[in-house]
Amino acid sequence: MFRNQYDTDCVTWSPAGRIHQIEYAMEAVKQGSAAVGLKSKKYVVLATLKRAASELSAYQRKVFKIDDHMGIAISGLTADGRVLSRYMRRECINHSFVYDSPLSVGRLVLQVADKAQVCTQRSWKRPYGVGLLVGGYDKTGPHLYYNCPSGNYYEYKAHAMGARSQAAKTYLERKFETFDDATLEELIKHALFSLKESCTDGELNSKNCSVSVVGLDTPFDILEGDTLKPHIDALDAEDAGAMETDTAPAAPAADAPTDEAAPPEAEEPPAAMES
Amino acid sequence: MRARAKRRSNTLSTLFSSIPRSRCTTSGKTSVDIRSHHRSRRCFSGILILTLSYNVYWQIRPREGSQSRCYQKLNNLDRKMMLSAGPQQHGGPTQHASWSPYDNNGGTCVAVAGKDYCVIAADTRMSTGFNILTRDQTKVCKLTDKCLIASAGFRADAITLHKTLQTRGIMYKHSHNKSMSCVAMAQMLSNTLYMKRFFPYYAFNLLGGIDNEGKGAVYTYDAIGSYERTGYSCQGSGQALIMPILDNQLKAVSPLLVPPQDGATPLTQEQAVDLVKDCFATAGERDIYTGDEVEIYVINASGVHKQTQELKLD
Repeated sequence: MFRNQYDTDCVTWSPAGRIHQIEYAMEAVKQGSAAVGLKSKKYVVLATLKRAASELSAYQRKVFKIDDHMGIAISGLTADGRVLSRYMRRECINHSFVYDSPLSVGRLVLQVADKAQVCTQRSWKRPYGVGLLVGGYDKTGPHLYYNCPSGNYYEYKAHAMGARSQAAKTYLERKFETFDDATLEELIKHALFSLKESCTDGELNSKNCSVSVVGLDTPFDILEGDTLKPHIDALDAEDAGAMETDTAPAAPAADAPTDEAAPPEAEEPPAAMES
Repeated sequence: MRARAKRRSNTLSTLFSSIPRSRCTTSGKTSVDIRSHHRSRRCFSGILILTLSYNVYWQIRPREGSQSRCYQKLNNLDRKMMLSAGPQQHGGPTQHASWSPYDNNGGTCVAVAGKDYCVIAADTRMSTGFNILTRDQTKVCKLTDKCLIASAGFRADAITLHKTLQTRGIMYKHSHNKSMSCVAMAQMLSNTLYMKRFFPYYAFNLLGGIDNEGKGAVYTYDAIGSYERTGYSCQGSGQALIMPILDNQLKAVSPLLVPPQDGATPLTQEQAVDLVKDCFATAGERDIYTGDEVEIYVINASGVHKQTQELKLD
């Protein structure tokens, strides 16, 4: 995408019928680190690769619990993601208070999409620079949605977003037909495998990865650090020959830069702090 | 002059005396008739007025048995409204206010704090006046894994209060990544109650749970948020019956002592539960609003455990 004279603000159409600012906002999502979501008949699993701003900093959170039956994974500008997650939480709490029942995933996703669209049609606003993978379980079953900065939303059986997500997508496209009847363990394994495809050198450990599960009789729960270690170990055991486990895992630069320049892709030793 | 004086002297005689003639332009009558015509009209209207006032008087005159002279001019509607405003001073059946935003649904709550546990219990009877609405309504609400609230009084206010506290607890958990502590919840409940100082929640609350150090905590409230951490308390219709038993068995330390003493009872968990069961059985005997079933919750380090105990249904 090259700079042109129709991209100053998001209230200007280009002659080709595009609004470039919205497309640039979608680029920002691609700059964030990878996040993967997949669902079976009973569960939705979200898996994310966390980034640390530097050697000394903690890994930044990418998965947020919205309600007992719903959660999101973000990719792009973390601050925008935090704001949207606060909005979603408030909506869920309000719905529970007034109607004494959980808010349907699809309804909330629509509200978020409408909120994002407003930002694409005001001269004094800018589009949200974050993509949301919304995973939830309501009375119509498990759902996985992707919310775009453009104000669109799509429902998926499996989806990946963020840096090097195409590799993860390829894995998911090969395997998605087996997801419907997969057990929870298998689903988590698939998620971690596809995430591994997006790593620079294939190093996935319990520190830089975060997995969440929600589904039938399963309130939203985040697996990180120690709770995630058994799954990572199972992965490594199964995949012993395929990927080499390195002692110097990659920790690419920050997820939410204040400037929108592409972050440097340097290999750094793991961060000193846990999130 | 004389003639005029004569005419004026007696109104009745002027009706029939002869007078100078002239023609009335409106009715066309001659003057002889005119004055008598007008006078007869006046006389007629005079008689009419007398008759009407006679009728009116007989309608609104003071009746036998009415309250007092000064009310005699009121119509029936005003009288009804006055009667409904308060009990009559002068005999007759007592009337009550027609509408109140509050109602008392009865019931009793008890809570006892121990060294590392807290017992909080409430009966399940919901009543209004002398009637039972249901035998199966819980008064207890779980706010966090370490904190429960039980409220006696007006059920609608209690439900709304519980929902509000639960919602605030969820919001706290989202922001702070941990559940609200019992101590924090106690303060928040006090603030929430005082915010409605001039239209209070008609709910008499007991908060029971485990504090930050793992010890049992009981907080007792009045309707507008004044609260105190104690070793035990009770609220509701059976309060006056149960409080003396608890005082006798658990002997409160004075809140005036310095340094403040721990009010938690040295009883074991099982003994405390037995005591609470006895309290409810006793209150159920004499208090008509307490009975049916008791829900007893025990909170300790391993979580919240519930048991029930049947009470008399009368």
